[in-house]
Amino acid sequence: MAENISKNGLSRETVNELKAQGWTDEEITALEDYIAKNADNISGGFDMGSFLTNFSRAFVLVGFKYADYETWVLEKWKWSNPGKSESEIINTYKNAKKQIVPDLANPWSKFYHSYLSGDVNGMSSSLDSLVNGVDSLLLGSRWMTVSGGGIIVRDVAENGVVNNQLALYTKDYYWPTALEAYKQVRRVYVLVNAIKLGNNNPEVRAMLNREVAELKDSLVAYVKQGPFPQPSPSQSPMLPCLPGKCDVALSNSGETLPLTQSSTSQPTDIALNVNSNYGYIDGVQVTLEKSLRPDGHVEYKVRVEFSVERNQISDVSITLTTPDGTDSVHYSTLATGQHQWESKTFISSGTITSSGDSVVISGNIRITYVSTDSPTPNSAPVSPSSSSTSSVSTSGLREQEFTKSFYFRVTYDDFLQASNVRVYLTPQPSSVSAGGHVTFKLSVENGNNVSIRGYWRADLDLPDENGVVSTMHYSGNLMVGASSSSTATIATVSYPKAGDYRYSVTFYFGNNSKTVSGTVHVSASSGSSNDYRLWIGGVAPESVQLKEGDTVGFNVKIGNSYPSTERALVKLYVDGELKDSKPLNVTTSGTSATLHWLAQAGEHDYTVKLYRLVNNQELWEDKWSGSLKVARDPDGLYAWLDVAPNPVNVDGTVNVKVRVENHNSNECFYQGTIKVVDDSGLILWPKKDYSVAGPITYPCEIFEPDYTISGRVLTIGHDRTMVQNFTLEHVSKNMTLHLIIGGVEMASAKVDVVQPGPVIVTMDCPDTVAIDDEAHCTVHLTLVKQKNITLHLKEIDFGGKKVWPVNLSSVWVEQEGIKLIPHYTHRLSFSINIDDALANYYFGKKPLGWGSYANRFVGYSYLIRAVFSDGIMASDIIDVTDKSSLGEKVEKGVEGLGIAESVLEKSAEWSGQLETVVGGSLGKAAAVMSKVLGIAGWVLTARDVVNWLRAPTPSDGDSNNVIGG
Amino acid sequence: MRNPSQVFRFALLINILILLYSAYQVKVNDSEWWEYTFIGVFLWLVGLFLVAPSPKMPRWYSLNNLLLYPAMFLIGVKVLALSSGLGSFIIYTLMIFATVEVVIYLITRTKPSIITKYIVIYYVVLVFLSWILYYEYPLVPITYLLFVAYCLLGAEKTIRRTPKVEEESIESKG
Repeated sequence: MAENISKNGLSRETVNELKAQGWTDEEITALEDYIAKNADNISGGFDMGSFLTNFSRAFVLVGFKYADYETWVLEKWKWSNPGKSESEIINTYKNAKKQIVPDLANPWSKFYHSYLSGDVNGMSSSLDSLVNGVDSLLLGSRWMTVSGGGIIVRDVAENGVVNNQLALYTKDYYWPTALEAYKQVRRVYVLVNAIKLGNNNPEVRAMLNREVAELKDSLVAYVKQGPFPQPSPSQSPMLPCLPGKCDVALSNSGETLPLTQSSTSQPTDIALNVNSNYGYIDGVQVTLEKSLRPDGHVEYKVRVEFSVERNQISDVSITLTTPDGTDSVHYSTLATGQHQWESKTFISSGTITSSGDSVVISGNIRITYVSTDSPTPNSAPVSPSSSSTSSVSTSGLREQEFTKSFYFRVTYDDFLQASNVRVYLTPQPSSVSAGGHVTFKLSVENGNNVSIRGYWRADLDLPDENGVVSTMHYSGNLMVGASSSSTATIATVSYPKAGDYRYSVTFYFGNNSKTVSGTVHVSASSGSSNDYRLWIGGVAPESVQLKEGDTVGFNVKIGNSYPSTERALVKLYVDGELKDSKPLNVTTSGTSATLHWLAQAGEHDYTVKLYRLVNNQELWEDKWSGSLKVARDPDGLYAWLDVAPNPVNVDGTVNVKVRVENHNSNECFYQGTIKVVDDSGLILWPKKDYSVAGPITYPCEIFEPDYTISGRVLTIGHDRTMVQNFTLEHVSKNMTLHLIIGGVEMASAKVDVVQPGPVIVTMDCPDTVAIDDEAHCTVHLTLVKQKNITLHLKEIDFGGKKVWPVNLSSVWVEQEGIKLIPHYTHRLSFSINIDDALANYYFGKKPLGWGSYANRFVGYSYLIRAVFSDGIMASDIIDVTDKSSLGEKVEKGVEGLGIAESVLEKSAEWSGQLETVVGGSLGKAAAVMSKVLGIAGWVLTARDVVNWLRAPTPSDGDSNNVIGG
Repeated sequence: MRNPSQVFRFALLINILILLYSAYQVKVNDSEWWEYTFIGVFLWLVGLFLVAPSPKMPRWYSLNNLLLYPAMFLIGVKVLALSSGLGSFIIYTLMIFATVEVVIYLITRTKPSIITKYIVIYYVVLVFLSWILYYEYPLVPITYLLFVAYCLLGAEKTIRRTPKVEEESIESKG
């Protein structure tokens, strides 16, 4: 049929029908062209009725989308920081009367009556008033926002006294669904206008019925009855009824019924009766239950959850349409409450076989039903036959429809559970004599029912003939089938010198990674090694947040591969000093022991060594090393610094937690500077203008916050705790963070960066750069893969803004492309001049007069980031310092001298001291000439004040001091 | 409002109000329109104090102030916008300063009977100039009008003043 249309055009009947619906000849021709162009894509017969139905529905859904966008914008604008929470005001209004929002009662009533009578023009005109009413109410500011999209409207009475009564408000109501009503009134607007413009699709009418029902509920407010100004019965029992204002006046008149009674009484106007409404479907949620078949196709069921509101509904049909088939269900009635339906199983046409694959599952849910407006939830179900006549009738029966589209992108990772992947690295043998060889094998077990394709990287510490240890990097790809395992040989290496050498391997798959590590023991003498050994399975300090003076327990797990129980000795060394030791018996199933140490402040390295005792002789077996941090105690102040995740992938984000406790009982408050710096002393946190105040719980019984940070000064009350979090973004090199309070380092934390790719990249920039100086940065790139690759520099960012490649003279780049040869370190340099051009570009504006806002860079740290092809990145942080030029100094001098001269001269004029000076010719000339300095000084001062007022501040919206990081 | 002190107080009030509001607009909205308005009104405000004639000073000195500052501040804003640096700003300022001083000299050396007429013409030219230079920022020439009105009244008062100091000064020279 489509081909027929493409050849002969639309049939005369169809054209007449389209023209009857208001289509122009141009539009009909355009439709014919469209069908002709897409005739090849239309496989079945072309159903014009279905096409037009879908067409009109699509327009309506676009209108709905815009209503949703508008509502989203309003929410961001007005509800970003709600003035009150719902829980705060619930008690205030719980006994208030429920009624239609007083300010909107009149237009709503008119609209609803037009709607009930099916008067489309009446609906349209009254809806305009309703939309305007909602807009003027919500776009204004005479209310307070409440979380969840609600508002409280309170109008203060004039003079506060009406009829000799003290009245605080003329209006006081809580409208919990104001934001919802804003959206709903727009959706109704879309439908009414669609019908008014000639869309006779009965589905649109059914959709309107549902939307109006929901709109009515969203217009319900909790209206308080007092202390409104009450009309005196003796003076004026009736309020004046202005044209078009009667309903508003009635609803605002402050009826004096008792609260309990008023909350149940309702107006006789059906539109204003909040207890009566049509039942409707709301809160439709679509979820997917999916599994992956061995052939890569996705099996899925669509689950639809929804609630029936206000009244039961009948003759309910749910139709699901997906590209993979359709399904439907029918219910004769559904009572109010939650319901759910699950479709049959569909099989996707697309397949997922490896990481990176995805399948899109989309479709449409359409729910049609019949609803009544009488509050009779237990009434008999409506027969389906009756529904066909009543979509716009006033009989109390209405067809309603709800349509929702869904879209899910199912990816490979959705079926992959990282916990089902186990990684093992086996050195064979695990201990050798000096000069021996060890083969490292990586084994990956995949417990998932999908195969995984991953990338591994191994770091092995290897000694050379002179005993100098260097780290060798190896990498490769590994494919592991579903529910199976794979093994890869990393390398066979030799250990020419005795000692303990670390090894680690990280296996990256999907968005996950797993790391295993260990130590190879190389003994000095040959011929003594065997397969039996004792080893340390792990050491864990008992507590994470250690304080000075705590007794720390180290739990040591010991394994035994000897055929019998062995006598052993474990020793704890902290910073190289023996702190504790314990002899014990290690059974063949292993054992554990606890060693103790009295904690001292600072960061410490610890080592647990394990010996086998044979005839009181200590024979070396294994060791375990680690580090821990102990909070300092200067005057009862403790602090911790925690970073997570650690290690972090290159260019990743690290969350930093700063915790400070004040247990000094001598003073109410501790006060001192606070900052987190990196190894070079660059301030990473807090931003110089960051201020925060903790809760007020009356520390020292003073009405002050528990803690404050302002101007990088911490004030914290006795026995109070401060916890602050900040993030560091685009971290690409190892660093140590130091928490310094009052000039004393209180805690530190290392951040390790792992680079999963085949290129190890670091970048070095100067720590500090003065204004007008260059930040010269060098990127070091080392290829650990076996094959040459060429990288291209794609972008350089300064403080979160791209500065290259853009038309900016401040940035110089040595070369854009660089060829990498395996195992060589290559360098690429670039420089950024912190000059006027950079400032003008970065801030997007210049000061009035001449110069730039370059001095506004000062006081912050900036992340410089180089982005290469293949997603490789490097970054470093610099601090910009001030350096006044000679020109600036002269300018300040002219300005200062000019103003000083001007003020002194004026003072001398009025005190009479200048009179004699200007008597002679020379004095006259000096008096006149001196004014030019004053004039210049004042003009420059006026400019400086303006430039100060409009000066930009570098910011990336977070609390750390690193702009762009 | 023929009394200079009344004009002074009125101009002071208007200028301060505009100055505060323009500062707010510059800070919050970064408005260029209000930036130039701020600079202009700021200078007129400072000028009101700088030109206020002291009875203890000779007449020529007060007249010089009353004629010099309105011209220099008026053109100074434009000079600031046109200069590329401090050097050019100082050079332009000196050149304009010299020109204005020559004009003032020519006005003040005229006969006492017509000096007022010349001064009025001088101020009218300045007001016209203010509209030509700053017609895009109407609050600037409007407030400048108040500044000039105060200067004109101050100049009239100074001319009418018994030139006691001036005469004594001349006598002592003779």
